[in-house]
Amino acid sequence: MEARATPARRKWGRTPMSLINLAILVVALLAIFIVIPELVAPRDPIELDVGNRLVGPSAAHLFGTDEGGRDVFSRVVYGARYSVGLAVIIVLIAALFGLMFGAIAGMGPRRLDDLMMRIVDIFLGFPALVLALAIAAAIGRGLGSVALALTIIWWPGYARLVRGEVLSLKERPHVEAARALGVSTVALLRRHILPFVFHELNVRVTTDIGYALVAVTALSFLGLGAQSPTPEWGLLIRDSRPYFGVAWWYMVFPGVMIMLTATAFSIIGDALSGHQTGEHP
Amino acid sequence: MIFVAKRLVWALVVLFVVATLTFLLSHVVPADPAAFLAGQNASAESVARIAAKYGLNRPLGTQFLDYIGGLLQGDLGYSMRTKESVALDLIHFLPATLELLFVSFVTYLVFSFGLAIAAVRKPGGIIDQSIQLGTMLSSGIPVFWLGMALQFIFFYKLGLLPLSGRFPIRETPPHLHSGFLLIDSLIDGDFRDFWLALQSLILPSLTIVLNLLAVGTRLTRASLVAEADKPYVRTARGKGLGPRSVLYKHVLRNALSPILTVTTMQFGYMISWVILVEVIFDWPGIGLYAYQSFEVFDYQPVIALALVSTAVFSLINLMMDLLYPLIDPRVRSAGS
Repeated sequence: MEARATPARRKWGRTPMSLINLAILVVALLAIFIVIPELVAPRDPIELDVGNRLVGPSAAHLFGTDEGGRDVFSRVVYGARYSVGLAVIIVLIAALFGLMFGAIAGMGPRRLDDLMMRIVDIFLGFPALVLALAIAAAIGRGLGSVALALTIIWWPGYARLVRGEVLSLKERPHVEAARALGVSTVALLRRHILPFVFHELNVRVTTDIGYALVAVTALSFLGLGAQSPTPEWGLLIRDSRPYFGVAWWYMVFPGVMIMLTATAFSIIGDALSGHQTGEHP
Repeated sequence: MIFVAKRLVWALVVLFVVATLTFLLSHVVPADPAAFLAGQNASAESVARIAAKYGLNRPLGTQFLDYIGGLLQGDLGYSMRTKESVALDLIHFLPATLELLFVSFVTYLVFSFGLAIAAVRKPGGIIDQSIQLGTMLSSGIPVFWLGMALQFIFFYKLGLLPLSGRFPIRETPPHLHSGFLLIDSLIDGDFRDFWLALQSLILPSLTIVLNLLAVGTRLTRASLVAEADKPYVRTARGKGLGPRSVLYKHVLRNALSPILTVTTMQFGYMISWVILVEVIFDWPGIGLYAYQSFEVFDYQPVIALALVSTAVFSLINLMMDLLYPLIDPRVRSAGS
């Protein structure tokens, strides 16, 4: 802990405030896209307009149009729901499961802890993408398969994080004192341990949303996830491949959105971690 | 020795669990496993033939034992698409993947160490800050999009490098000795072939290297920074050692084991995501092979690749676990 307080460390780990504000702006915009896309998108994301195929960016079509004459900007706006929405859901479910698993392992007897962590190790050894392909092969393509595969990939990381935190918090004076007063294990966990675990977990979840987004779009890009004409971002890039020598905008804008979103979440996660080390007991 | 034996047993357990999992995915989860293995457009007769051939009408327990027995003999199933045993197919496509992975990973190691050291030499300096900002902004770039962007720039706009493939279609590739085109062309003594093979290799490996660097440099730098903050480093500096020998003799040596952890992680990550790069660049390796099979609903290769790549990954983890005690005496004493 002392090392964190040295001026050198503080200077090295700081993100400029303007960057953080920018990241918050991006996330706020995404929230609007997800909740009320019809207010932002100028056109229908699905309906074809064959007269306007592959038109470059202009005032009428901010991000240009695709091979069906659809407005790429509108498709990107509606796509946030599928891409970012799914990433958030995956990370939250994985974090919840990892939280329960890690808390039980951390509080339980040594042998149970060993066994549970072995299980975590096995899952951490799976190559993500190939597992997703195999799952999609077995249960069929679609966003459901993507969600299942990525949740399986993601939860062990949280389990390990939570278990580590619980183990170290268990030794803290305030927990030992509560235990000596006869507080039950459940109450101990709920009132004296988990509130502190949430700090770390928040940081990780925020950063991971970006990585989950990249994974979701990658699987859709391979054709495992969303199917046409769903305006999912990875699928947009997949659909743009045949035209990418002639219509750069079709491929560029969905990719930039993925990049902006992932970076924004990672910047906010970074800022949260810096902010929270000060509050940690 | 006990440490080594423990790790070996553990690696075997992992493999067994994965084999069980792939069995479940191919024999239990699908509604009709025979239809699943036969592929989507198979006729009723071929489904029946498959069911009989693989004994899919027998009790699950027997099937499972057969499956494990087959795996032990190297039987990974049969591909409907290539009409070939999956094990042979994988061996056939493996060198292309290995060549790509090897070149990319070596390049990555050189650059990530170079950049991280440059950053730590002057903490908070202009190099450090731009590396930090650069890695932060680039860690969110999806690898498939990066690959396409590089194709767009270097093929469509500049016309400098080939769009995709491992060797130009109109040229005769070098004779196959090892399956690695870079080596085979040198064995033939044909430098033009070597150059052609290298040109095709540049964009796919650049995609992988940039993607790994975005995450790896950050973590390597963080390990070095954490180490450079420790009291013993201050002591070393205080007793008059120059910054160079503090960095190389103390900081780097002690930061090596966390860096090794990161590197192993990165390698596993790369094994998994190389499929994307192979698909984008039409690189004829095992990832593209599994993907093309998946596209036509031929699932045996996909299941087999899941099994094989998990096996490779746990093998690498095993090797790294055995490496730690060599680098870090602290692990040695804890392990025995």
